[in-house]
Amino acid sequence: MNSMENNLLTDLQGLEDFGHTWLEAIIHSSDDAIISKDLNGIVTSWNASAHRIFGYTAEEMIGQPILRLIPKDRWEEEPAILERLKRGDRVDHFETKRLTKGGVLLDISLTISPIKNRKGVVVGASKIARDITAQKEAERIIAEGRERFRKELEATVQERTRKLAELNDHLARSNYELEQFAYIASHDLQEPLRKIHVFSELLEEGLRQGDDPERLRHHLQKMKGASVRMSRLIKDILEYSRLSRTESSYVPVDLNEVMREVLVEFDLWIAEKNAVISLDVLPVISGIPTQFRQLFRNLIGNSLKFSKRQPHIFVKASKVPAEKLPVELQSKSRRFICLDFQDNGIGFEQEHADKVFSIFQRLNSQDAYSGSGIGLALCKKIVDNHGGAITADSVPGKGSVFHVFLPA
Amino acid sequence: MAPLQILLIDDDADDREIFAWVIQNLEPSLVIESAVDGVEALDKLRDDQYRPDLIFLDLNMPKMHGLDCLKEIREIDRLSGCPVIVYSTSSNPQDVNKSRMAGASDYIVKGNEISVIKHELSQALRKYNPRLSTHE
Repeated sequence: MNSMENNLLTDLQGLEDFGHTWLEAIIHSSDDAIISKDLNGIVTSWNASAHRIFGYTAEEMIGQPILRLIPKDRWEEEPAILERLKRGDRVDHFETKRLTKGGVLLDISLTISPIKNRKGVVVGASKIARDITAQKEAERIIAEGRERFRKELEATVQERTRKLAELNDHLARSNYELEQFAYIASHDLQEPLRKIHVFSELLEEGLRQGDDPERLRHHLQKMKGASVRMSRLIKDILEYSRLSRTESSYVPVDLNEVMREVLVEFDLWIAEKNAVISLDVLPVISGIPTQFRQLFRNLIGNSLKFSKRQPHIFVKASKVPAEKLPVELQSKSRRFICLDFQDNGIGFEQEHADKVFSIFQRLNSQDAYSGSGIGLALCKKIVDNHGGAITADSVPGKGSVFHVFLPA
Repeated sequence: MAPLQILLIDDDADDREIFAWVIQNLEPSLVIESAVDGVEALDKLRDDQYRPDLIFLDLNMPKMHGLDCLKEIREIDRLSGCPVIVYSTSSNPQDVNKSRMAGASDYIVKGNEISVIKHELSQALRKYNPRLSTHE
């Protein structure tokens, strides 16, 4: 070999060396892990990023099975990959999980290409592994966010649907109640009108037949009585229907003050009946003052009205333990106070305890105790408006206790 | 022949007075008993000696609703043939239906005028008491 040939060889060698060094430099500085392995899955090269990503040094990995990096539950991936490589196929951007030396599970995107010798026979594989853990985490967060949003949206839709259904129910119920109310109200309103009409006819007939003045005056009295009942009924119905609109705002109401006002209204009646009224110190409660006045007026008024002897009326206030609340209030996680209105009046059979709160429901004949049959229905509506409940205990001839439960 | 007996069950004193006035006008020989509520009526009716020929029954009454009273009356074998006419101010179709179901023979809505009440009651008397031939 002459020097020229020698030089050429040296140059070629230099070029080849330079190419190797160049390639090695590229591989070394790559951000991705670049690994090669033979067809038995034994690692044959391991770059710096492989070290950085997986934690193993090249010395630790070269000559070792690549299976070290694969979590046990994914071991079946390797034979499948090797199978494809042997056929000369590539595996592009295969997303999987790999274990680091420290046991951390990483999200990895793999691109694996077969390495062929000069004869074109596959002898191994090069593997570019990219750590996509952060990307996966971001995707997971986005997916989670999307899922949470979907769930929230679903929950909102469900809640709205439920509210709509509830509102529908409420509307249907109030329509029904309104229809029933119209029948009952028209019945009760018809009554005095009918009496006025009929007794005026009887008066006419009596005048024509020359009945005695006492008899004629009787018919007139009946007409007057009916017209008084009629106007009271209209007033009560109006008062009752006004309660349905509860746009009035809540303010702290001193029930002692309310009670004082009501007792002043009943001044004469209390004196006339020589009634004895004992009061506890009552609490201050959030509510609609005018409605509390109506409530107290009706309950105290009833105790004065439905009495045959000297009325003894007690009004007591107490805190109620949850287990002593009426069933309908037990599910509400609130604290309640109870106001007891106790009297020694004529009372009623306990079996009517629910019925007394129905509108136009009278337990006593108009002759014995006049009334529109609205008073206790009004009380119930007021207490319902305030999120409470009203119940009654009674013994005929002994007296009644009305329990008013209100949110404390 | 014993005079015909009518039982009126009505809590409203005015209505009892009007009813009696109209019936006496139609047929002075009729005997009218009255009860102010269902409880009093059932007390009377459970007495074996008492056997009305015709019962008029109000619905909206304190203590016991007319329908409950009607059901109780229908339990008394002795009165199985006795017509019970519901006599109420209610024109609610539900009340009419419930009355029929509970065994009412007829349903009369209380009239607002004497002439209407007379007409309704005389028709009822004719229909349920062949022994009578009342004239309006």
